[in-house]
Amino acid sequence: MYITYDNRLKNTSPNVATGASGDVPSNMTSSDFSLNYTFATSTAGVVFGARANISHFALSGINIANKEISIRDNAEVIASYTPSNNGVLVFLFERRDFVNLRLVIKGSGQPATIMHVSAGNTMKVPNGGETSGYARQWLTRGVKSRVAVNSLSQPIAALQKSETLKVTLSLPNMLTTWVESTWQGFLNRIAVGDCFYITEQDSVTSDKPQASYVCFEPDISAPTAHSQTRALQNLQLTCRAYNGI
Amino acid sequence: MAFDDNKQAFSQHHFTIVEIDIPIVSGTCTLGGQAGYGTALTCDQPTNATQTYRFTTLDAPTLPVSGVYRCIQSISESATELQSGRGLSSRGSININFVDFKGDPNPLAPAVTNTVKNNGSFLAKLDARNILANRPIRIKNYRIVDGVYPDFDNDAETRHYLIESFESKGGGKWVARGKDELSRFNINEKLYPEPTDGYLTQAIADTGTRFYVDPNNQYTAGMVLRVGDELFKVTGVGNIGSAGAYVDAAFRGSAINSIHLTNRSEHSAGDEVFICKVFSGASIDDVLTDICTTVGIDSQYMPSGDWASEIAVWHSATTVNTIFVEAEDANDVLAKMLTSYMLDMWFDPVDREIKLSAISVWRQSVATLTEGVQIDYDTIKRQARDDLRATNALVVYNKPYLTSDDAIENYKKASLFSNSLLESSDYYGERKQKRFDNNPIIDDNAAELLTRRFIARYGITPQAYTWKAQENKLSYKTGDVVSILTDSKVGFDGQPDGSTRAQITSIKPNYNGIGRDYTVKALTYAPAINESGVVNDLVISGNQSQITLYNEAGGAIPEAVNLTFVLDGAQVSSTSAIIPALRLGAFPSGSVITIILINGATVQGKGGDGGTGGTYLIDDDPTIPDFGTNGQSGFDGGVAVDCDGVEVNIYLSGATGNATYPNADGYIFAPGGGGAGGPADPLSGDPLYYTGSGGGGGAGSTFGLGGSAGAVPDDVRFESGATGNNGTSTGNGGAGLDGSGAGGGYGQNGSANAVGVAGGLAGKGVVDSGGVVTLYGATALRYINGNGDH
Repeated sequence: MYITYDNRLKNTSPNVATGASGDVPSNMTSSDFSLNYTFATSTAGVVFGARANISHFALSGINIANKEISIRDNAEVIASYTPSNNGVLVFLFERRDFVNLRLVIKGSGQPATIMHVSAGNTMKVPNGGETSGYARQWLTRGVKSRVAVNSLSQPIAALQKSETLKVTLSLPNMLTTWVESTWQGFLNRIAVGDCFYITEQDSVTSDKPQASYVCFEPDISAPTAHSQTRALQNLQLTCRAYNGI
Repeated sequence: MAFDDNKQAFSQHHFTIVEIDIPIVSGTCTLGGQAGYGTALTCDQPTNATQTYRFTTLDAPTLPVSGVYRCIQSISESATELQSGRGLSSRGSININFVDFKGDPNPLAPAVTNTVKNNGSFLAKLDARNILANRPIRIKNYRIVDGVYPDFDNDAETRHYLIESFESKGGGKWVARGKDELSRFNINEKLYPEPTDGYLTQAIADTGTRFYVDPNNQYTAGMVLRVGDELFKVTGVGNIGSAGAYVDAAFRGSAINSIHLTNRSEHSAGDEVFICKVFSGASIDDVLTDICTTVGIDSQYMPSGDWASEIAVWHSATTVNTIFVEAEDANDVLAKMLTSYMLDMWFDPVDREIKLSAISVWRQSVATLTEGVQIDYDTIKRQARDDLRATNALVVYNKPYLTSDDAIENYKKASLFSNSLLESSDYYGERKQKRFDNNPIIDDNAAELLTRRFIARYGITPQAYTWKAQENKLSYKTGDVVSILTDSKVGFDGQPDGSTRAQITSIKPNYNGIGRDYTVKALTYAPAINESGVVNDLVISGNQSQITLYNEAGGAIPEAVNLTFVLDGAQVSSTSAIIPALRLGAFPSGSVITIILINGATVQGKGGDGGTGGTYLIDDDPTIPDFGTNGQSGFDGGVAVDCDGVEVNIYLSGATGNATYPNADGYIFAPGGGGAGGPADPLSGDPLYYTGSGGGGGAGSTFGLGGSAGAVPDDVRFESGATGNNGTSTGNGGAGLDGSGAGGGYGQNGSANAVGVAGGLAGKGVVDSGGVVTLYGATALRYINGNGDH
């Protein structure tokens, strides 16, 4: 499991090179998901320019299903994926300095809408981050349903309503050194109210960018002491999540 | 794709966007030389654009559109609700609760720096920089079906309101209250007709015809003016707009039109001059349009074609002939118009127009709603509205002196209708009366329709239904008439009763559950035609005069019907020899009407009046008459039943084949003709010359009057003959006098006088007028034909 550590695109103004519409490009880099960018065409390209120290590129979008999403440094494809659902994607790769970070979307159908993008560092959660009972929120649906029935209890109408997902991340037995350095750095960033991404990929070479979700409104519990040693700490983080499906 | 295109989809994901339009200043904006905030309140420059702010609920799905602020906690909407029998509906309203958030509503305005953007919160700044009251606010409902997002510009169902207030509830919460657009026009605060500040500049006696008036108003010939209690029609004007302005009236105290009268009186300088609103032969929709226009309703909200069509169907023969002689609360005037003609009016926030619908039991169902399908299972509730029920309706109308008070003595006519069957011990066992306010607007036809339609609509206790419905099953609108199939209302056999007919009075959207659903209200009535096409028998009782069965059934019958009228002991008559006592009216072609007379019901036309006696003509010597005239012919008797070309079966005795009224017992009598007036005899002068006596009146329920004696010349040697004898209502004509003819008995011609002048023709029993008419049990005792067709 990796968690995005920072976002070097926040509040920047990218350039939409292909598929520009009347929307404001900086909507993509705003943490406000009500500000988004819908391309004018199904094939689109966004240029973020030179960006250093980047090991992830994450995006939340809709109408991205069955479109090829690629992260490029100029023409070089760094990562690419064609999701089968709308949702959240986190591309991981070895840390690098981009000469010209680009997002390219290729496909057909309704143009994509990007609510948010993030690029920057990541932190790998020690011990994988997945304890027993951990809920894989990227595989669920953030909807509640209600069905009206007739006198024979047969369904006559089904309605859905969006519902915020809730994530509880239990991280037992974390090294105290990690908690006091990397974890603190992460908390310093999310404490200012930003959102962050969690991806369940276990290495930068994993090819499952869709195994991801975006988290917000974290509830940060104080680390609790280990029962046997001060070298280890128990962490718990709860937050609300959006998986885009 | 439109909102309705995928409305019936089984699975739907609903969401709602609320839009608010606010005028802004785009570009240069300064306030007192300093940078401004881009709004009307914060710029010296005039507004030059409209900013549409869009908000959605906190639980809305992710939307592929930018700039929709996710900050609505809840939406509640009170839909407009028809107020049965009161005409004007209740107004719709909305409450939208917001949670404030960081941001700035005018980020591009010159004064909005990064510091300003970070100050305060979005909604608080929106409220501070704008007056939000009366701004359009729209609720736009969308759905996602099969993962496909709607077209945000074209796929919404938009519900239009106006902001009434935008208030902070503390803790970063705000509420926008809205009202429907009918409220924009503040009907409760407007007068109709529009008052003027007219006044007399000089006193005037009750004989003068020139009124010197104020220079403020544009008086024109043809206007009807009111000064004090006096009305007069303007025939000419002079010096209008100047100090010597005057208007002329042709005759003081003369009738304004064929209905309305006035009394002349003297007036003082300074007395108010009111410009009356006159309607002569106008249609109902014309009057309603004028009222709405006067209070400021834009024509775009009044679908004049729809209104005219509705009136043409349900009030085809009704015209409005009235004069509004004082400024009254427009709401009251509108309500009076609507209740007078049994109309409902409401504002539809989706179509964004004012709807008009007539109330009639003949209105047909547009959909059948079944519990478990269109009605959510186990959500339906029913409440008896006995407060609306009436078995007897009375309206007093025809007010010749419109400026007199509203006391009953100032009205000339009344229309009364009862349903005696419902008053019998087998039904409600009591008379429950509806007394309409005295009505100066309606005419005979409208009064008849009003009382009949009201009893037809509210004779059986209306049931108020409430239920929940899903959006994919919502196939009807407010005002529609539907049939209801529900387990909560069963027929005699215990099966759901499909004859339950109801008008939808309200459809209220509910936003705060999982997806939208709707709370629907409806009010039932006994339909004239049930779901099986069976028409209920209509019972007429009591004393009736000049009735038209088509109107008795409520008029505006949409299709050919097989309909039975039962005259239960009714005594049906006419006061005019040229108007039938009973006529069928304009039933659609193909209709078959059955009339069953029971309990001695009788239909008779008016007997013919006797002719006037002869008089004397005098030539050179005024003392000796040259000759006497022969007296006038008697008048013809009237008609008992005119079938107006309709196929009719009339049962007078014997078996009827009707389960409820198996045996007939009634009478139809042609009236008698009037006798001729007696001659004046120039040789009879010893010592006095008598003018001819009047002829006898014919028999009839309203018997023929005896004729007048001949006119008496102005000389002492002439004397009047006798007034003729009236006919009787029991079958005999008035006897002849001194050579005049006797009136005819039932179905008999009046007699000729002594010199052979003919009496009037006998009246007519049943006149077919082209219809196929069959009489059953028409024995000589039961039926007298006269000059009728049978």
